[in-house]
Amino acid sequence: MGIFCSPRYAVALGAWFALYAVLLVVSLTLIDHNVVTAMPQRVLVGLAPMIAGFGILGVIMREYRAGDELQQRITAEAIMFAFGATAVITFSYGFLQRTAGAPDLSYFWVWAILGTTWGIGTFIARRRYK
Amino acid sequence: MKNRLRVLRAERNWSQAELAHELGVSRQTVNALEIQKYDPSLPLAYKIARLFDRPVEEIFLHDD
Repeated sequence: MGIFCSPRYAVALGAWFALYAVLLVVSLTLIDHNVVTAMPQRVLVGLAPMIAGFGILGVIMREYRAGDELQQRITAEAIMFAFGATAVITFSYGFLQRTAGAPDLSYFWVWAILGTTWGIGTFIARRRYK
Repeated sequence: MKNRLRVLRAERNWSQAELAHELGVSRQTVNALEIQKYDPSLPLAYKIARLFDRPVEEIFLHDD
């Protein structure tokens, strides 16, 4: 069973994502309906979904450490690829914004690029050891 | 680095999955070792040597 593919990992990750979804709905409801207006409570409620974010981070790190040495190497190579590729893509887009008037994008796109390039990096790294 | 892992495994009639279980690694890692696409860490090399009751240098052979 490959790293990040085990049922135990999927269940743990799914549970934290479920909590994230609940916290997100509650947080957005409280913020959007101005139920919480005072500071810093409003900031804390807005950041509440990130409680689950720490849980997701913990699950990912535990799964990485549970992998064997080759699985850890493949993951590290994939992350290195994703890190570099994301820098190239985001810098390129930044230059396009300055030179060609490319529109502003949300920071959420950074994670989409990172996740996609991580997948590509994993595919490339796995092929090296087959 | 070359190794005799596939031969030693065959002598014991183990599948890759069985050897992986004995070593506490994935089957993919055993396969990568056998096709010599991956050299193990020193602790894993010693674990393999102990499992097959051979010196490390009898299992892993440097290319030079």
